[in-house]
Amino acid sequence: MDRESGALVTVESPEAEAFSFEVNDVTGTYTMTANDVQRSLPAGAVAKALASRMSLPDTPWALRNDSTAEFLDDSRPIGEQIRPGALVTLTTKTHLGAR
Amino acid sequence: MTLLLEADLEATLAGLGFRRTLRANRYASKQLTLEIDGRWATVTTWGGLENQDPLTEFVGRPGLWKPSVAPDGMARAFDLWLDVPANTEADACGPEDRTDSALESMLNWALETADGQVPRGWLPEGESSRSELERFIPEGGLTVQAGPFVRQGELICDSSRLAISIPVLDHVPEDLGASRVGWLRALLIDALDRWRMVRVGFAGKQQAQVVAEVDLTGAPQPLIPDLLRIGLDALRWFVQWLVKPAVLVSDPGTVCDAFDVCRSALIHERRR
Repeated sequence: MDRESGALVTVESPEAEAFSFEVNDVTGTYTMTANDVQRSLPAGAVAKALASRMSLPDTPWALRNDSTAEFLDDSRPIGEQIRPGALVTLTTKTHLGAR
Repeated sequence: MTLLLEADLEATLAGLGFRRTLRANRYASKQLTLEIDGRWATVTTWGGLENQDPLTEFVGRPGLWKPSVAPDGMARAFDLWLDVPANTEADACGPEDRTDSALESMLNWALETADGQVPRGWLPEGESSRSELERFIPEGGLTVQAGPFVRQGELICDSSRLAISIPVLDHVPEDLGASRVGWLRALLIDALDRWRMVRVGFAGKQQAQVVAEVDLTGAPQPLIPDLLRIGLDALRWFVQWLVKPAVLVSDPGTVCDAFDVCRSALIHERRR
């Protein structure tokens, strides 16, 4: 498993304007630490930036909270949806469609 | 839609005490010089800036005043947008119940904020209230992404300030080192000179944050929506342009001998 940024994940105070968390790619073979992420950033924008950081293709991406298995709401601030030190997975937005 | 035709501009400037100088497109009054460059004009004033840090003294000040750093010293500059829509000029109101042109309104704005004070009686109200102004910010407009870097800005709108602010660096390490700090400062000062309307500098606790902002405090009320749109566009371009090199220079994990070998006290080349 590749690990980007050997920095330890520190658990910041909930009141801090920026925080850090861990990110897996969808296969689980690549992990990085997202440091100093502004809490007010929309989760969708964070997902896009993380995909760029991981050199992933420019397709729609979403973040899933590994502890709850819920996808984060793209439009809501990420700081309202996960806590410092959380583990999330960056996954493609696939829509299987239905008839 | 530009209303300020050349003849009108000359007459307006003459009425405000500006006289054409020997240099093309440059006018001077007792206090200021005004230089026209296409759809923009820049008002400049010198003096009183000795020993001031261009990257700390201007952040948070009302209006568009920003430092202009040149080899022969530092001046204060204020960018005026000349491409005012016709209907905006017709609605602009100035003091004493007289109708000012948009150019006069903006020049008055520059003069009234030159000393760093909020113009007396100015208050975002009516159309300029927060909820109304937010209509002019497109969805996602305050989110700026540059590759792996993404920043969230904010609209500041209260009784004493109207501005858009976007952080460039959340935290500059205290132990970054003198040469790296010098490179960061050189980068920021160069950025100040390249982009209109936007200023950048150190702010926050122990001035460890780098923020970019467009400050419309004191702006003529009828012009605020258009200035907000233009200012936000300028700010977004600015942050997209600046964030990558700023992170590169300020990240302690970046190892580059050039930062120590090459002095950051470079000859500053002015660009517009």
